[in-house]
Amino acid sequence: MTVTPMRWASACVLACLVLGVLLLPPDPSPDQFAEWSPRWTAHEQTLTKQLNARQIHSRMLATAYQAASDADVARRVAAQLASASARNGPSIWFDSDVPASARSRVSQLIAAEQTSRGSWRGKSPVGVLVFTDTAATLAGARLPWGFNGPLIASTTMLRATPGADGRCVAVVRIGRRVLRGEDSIPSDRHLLDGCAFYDAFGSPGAQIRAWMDSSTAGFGRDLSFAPPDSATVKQSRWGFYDFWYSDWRFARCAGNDLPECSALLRMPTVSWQWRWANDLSVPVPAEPQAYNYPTPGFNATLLDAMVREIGPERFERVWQSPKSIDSAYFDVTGESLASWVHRRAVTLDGPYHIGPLPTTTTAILTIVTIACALALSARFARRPVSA
Amino acid sequence: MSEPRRVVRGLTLPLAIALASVMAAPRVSTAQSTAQYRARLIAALRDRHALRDSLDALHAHRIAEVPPDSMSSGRLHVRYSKATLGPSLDATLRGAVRQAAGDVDAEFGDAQIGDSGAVLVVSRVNWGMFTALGFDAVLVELSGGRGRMSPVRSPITERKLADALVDMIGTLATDGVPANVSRWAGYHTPARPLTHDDWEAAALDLATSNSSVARTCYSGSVAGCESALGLTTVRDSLSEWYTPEGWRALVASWNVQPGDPALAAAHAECVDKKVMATCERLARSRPVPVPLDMATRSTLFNLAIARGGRSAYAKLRSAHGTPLEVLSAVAGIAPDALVDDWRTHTLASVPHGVRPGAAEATVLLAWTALFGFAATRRRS
Repeated sequence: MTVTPMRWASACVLACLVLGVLLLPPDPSPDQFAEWSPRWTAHEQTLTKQLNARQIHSRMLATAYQAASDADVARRVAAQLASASARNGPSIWFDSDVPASARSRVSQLIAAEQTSRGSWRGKSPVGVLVFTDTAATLAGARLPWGFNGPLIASTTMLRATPGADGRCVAVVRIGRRVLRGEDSIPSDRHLLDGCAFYDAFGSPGAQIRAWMDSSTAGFGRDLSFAPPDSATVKQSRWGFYDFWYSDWRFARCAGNDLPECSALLRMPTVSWQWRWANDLSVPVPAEPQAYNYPTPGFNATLLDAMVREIGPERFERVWQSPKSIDSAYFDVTGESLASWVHRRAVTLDGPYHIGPLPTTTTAILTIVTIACALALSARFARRPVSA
Repeated sequence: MSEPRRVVRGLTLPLAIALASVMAAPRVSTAQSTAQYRARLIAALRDRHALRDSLDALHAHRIAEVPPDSMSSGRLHVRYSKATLGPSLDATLRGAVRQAAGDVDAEFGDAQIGDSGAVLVVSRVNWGMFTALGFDAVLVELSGGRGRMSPVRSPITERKLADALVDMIGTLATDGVPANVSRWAGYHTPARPLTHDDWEAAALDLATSNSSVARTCYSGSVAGCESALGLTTVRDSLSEWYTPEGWRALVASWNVQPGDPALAAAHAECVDKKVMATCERLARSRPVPVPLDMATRSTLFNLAIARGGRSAYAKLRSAHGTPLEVLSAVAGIAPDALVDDWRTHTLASVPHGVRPGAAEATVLLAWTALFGFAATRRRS
């Protein structure tokens, strides 16, 4: 029988069906021994899925509510915050239930953070709101574990608009372990969060402020004047907090695709809850997400790396420029911002080659392999026998 | 069929699909006020609690379906459905329950484990993310909505099942551990017999600790052991537990974030330049750890239980006082005697170095002779 393409395809399909019937396991649900009680199991699984979805929804609402509530408090106490002069350090407002020991520790850490920057401080008024993070119920409804999350402390910042004087406001939430006296806020925790940029370099130019707002300040959440990137700095700065392997834009930027580097800076920096959850009913908060640990990752430390690389004097000129961040950076350094972002990506993650990468060795090996195959065929293949 | 009717019929399906798409599409919300978020959050939390209650009720229904008196052995009552487990697992479970009943009696003695013994529910489930790729497992859970479950995965043996049952009962036995003892132990009071590995880990912790009191414990001071185990009151833990060199060792163990140049400089000053004043300042900025770790402290807890015999868990529930007084009451011996016993046990478990035996020595000599002989032959 001649093997025609149609017969070949039919045989393949038939073989696949036979394999499917023979090898694939049966659906276990009709098997009375495989499940304890199928009718309950199906219902229980459905309820569990609904419960998980409701849990995610509640957490997103809690985050959005907390961000909106913080902004409300900042507006309410704006006059109180404004009474202090920038020269005397950030004005700190404590919620009524913050104990004296925690107040003293927070004040001490903020003073130390400012002092570590030498003369780079007091350029713009900064406020700090300090809360405890121990709420267990909300209007009688019990908050599940994880809502009042940080065991030590979390920080975030509000956009610099709530008060009449446009000051940047940092929010510190003190966790249970600190309040119980089981732990203390470590001295390397920067409580001013992104407001440290305002404190060190004053208010940003209009376009840079708009860029910060549009990216929920996601590129400047920590400031230090540590030396330029050492191995340990790289290790601490690099994390998967705001980046994961499937981030093709970052990969293309590391591969010297400069337009993608520029596009990277225009991407909204969304908190993980909104990135992972398929729930559009809760809008992404306009305020930045809170961090429970010292700020990690490529995005959140980008401006911090810029300060360390070009120095605070030149960074101040970039920061206060009325132009866009790209133009301001180019004016001050003579280098395009995209090129710097590319270098930053390479510094942290190594170079990347876009597309296939045939090297001389692999090309020679391929040619040699083909030549060998041809030679073997020519030598050993059977010749057709002539009639 | 008339032309208009055909047109209407032709449009019905696309229109229905379009309408369904619009209605089913997620509604993108816009920013809301704090009060609106609060109201939505409260509603979501209540909804969540209602779902949780429904799930709990359903679980209770499932439990109610299992025969209440499937199998008992001693104080161990197991509920399961024979039809669900099948004959092979049924036989394995019966063997496991017999083993577990003996273990429970030996380990927990007179401990109160439930009002009339422990009731456990055993079920067979498909374990894995995808049903087709999952595998059978047996789930052991405490009856009465206590929430603790433990899966026993394939291959399911009598020993594995018995261990899971005993582990579950351990949860009940350590229920009444006084809060201060639990806190002292680092919230880690495993109810199980100690193994040689546990003692060896404790011995290594004691022998390698950078604390001065741990060293005095090692060299024979019972008071030092009590202090190193965190059993005595200390006024200044840093200076009482650690010497200045210990402060430096504590600071050296930190993973300092380079984002803080002041801290990084101070860290280097302490660790590299050995400026003890800086070490002290830094060490005081964080909680001072108890010299001997949580796992080591749990060996003392388990030793007291073992010394206490059948009534140990019962005494544990009713004992009062400091953790050392409670453990001493449980063990039925004086505090110093208990700690001394612990020290003796720990030091006896210090791993010895590798010593070559007769076989190793013979092989060594044989190789030496062989190479020596070969070298001589070559020269000639």
